[in-house]
Amino acid sequence: METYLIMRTHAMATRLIPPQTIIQLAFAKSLKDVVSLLALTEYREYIDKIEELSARSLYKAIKKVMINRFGKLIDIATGKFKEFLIEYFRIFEIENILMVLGKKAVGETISEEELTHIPSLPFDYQRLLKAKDLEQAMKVLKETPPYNTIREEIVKTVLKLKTILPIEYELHRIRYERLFKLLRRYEFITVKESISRILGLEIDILNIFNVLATVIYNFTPEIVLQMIIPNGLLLDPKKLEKVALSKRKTEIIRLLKDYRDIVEQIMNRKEVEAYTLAQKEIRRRFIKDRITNFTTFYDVLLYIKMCEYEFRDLSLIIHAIEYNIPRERVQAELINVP
Amino acid sequence: MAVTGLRVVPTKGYLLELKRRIEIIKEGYRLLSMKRDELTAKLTNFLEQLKAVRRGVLERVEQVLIRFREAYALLGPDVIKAHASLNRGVFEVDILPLSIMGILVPRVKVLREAEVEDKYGYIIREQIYELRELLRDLIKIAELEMKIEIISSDLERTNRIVNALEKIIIPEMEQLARYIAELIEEESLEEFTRIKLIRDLIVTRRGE
Repeated sequence: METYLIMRTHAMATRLIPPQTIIQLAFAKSLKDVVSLLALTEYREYIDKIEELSARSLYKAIKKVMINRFGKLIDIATGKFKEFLIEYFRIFEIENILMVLGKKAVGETISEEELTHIPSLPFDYQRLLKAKDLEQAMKVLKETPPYNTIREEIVKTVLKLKTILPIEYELHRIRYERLFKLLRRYEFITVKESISRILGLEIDILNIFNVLATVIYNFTPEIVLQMIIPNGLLLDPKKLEKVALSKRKTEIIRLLKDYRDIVEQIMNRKEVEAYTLAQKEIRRRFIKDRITNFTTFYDVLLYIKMCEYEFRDLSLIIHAIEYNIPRERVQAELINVP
Repeated sequence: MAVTGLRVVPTKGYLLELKRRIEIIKEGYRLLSMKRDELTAKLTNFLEQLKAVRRGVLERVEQVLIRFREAYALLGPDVIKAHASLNRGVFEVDILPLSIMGILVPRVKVLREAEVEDKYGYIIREQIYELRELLRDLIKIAELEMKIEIISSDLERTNRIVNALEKIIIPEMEQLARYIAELIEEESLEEFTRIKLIRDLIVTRRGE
């Protein structure tokens, strides 16, 4: 069944927008130009359904394309691959949960239609949406697997500070731990190491953004330390703890020397640039670790990442046109181009 | 006489009273001139401050808005919305009166504002931090503009009074005092001459 999944993914990957088209899109003058370029791609089907052209409606259409691609992958996958993909796609579940918790924290409501639904993801949002405040929502979340492993001190911090940041990192921690557990349990033989490296890199990036907040934005070190996610690629929790408690820029750069470019951007309060650099690094590593074209499960994950980046790039382009952001800046922030 | 509203009685007592008044008016003029000078200095200072803050802010507004749009474009409306709602209703200010040379000007005290610390994740925190700093500067501009408006209107009034005192009231009152003094002197001279004549008459009669 793995071969079938890989073959189907291979077929689906041919429909990804090539980098040169992304660059062309980045220099489009209006949303109409974007639509005419996207009409030649898989997006046509969804764009045709748009009644009134706007950045919002176009954004919804491209998001639908990404969700459908991921839904299709889960449908095709079976056994351990399906299990892994479901865990991998929990990132969208986390985004939804954070959106709900954010609204609960300020006493607002949110409808289920506003959330991103990937078919086959088992989370039932109804109980969470019905919670009357943040405290009750946290209680519901803590009773819902797999999030019943949320640590008590995190719940306390969330309720004390009325913020969703610690729970964001906690949910990411749970997701990554479950992914690593699956990697250990099943033998993804040849790709196990490569997948671990990519996940570790993602964790490192999240941790860097987290620990540097103590230096740049005066975050409380105790809270930041609570949010450190284990299983990073190059940064272990002890090193991150040193960074969080350090006050000297030179020492921080020395400790995080493997991510020097990203760290320097964060230190200069240029987090958009740092984020783009980090995503480009993940993309570069993903492509570098690839053995051959579409022979392993690793290629499926690469396809997922490429879909995600394609969505982010298109979203950036659409909103850049809407808000008249200089095209040169947009081009610099595109992820899915070499 | 042009000094209106004064019932001029050319007597010694009135002259003394007038001189006392002139002294008081001169003292008032001196104090008002000092107030005018101080207000001018304050106004110049506030204008310089405003110029500096405004120059910086205009550049920053552009930068911050471009960066916010970039962040919005990068993260998408859903993430921005989720975090934006956390900041609703967290801004609160109090406007306190501050006295400058007896003029009440507003001083804005920020009681509650968006907190970045321990609350927001990457990119969002940068935007909130920058927007918070920008809002502080905008408040500073509004405060300075209000101060300048109030002080300049008071300065205009003070200047008018000082000019009126310097150019019209004091010279006219001094002129009046001089006029009365002359009148009194004339009268006393007349009186002296009259007495002298009467005395000469009496002496002549006694001599007869």
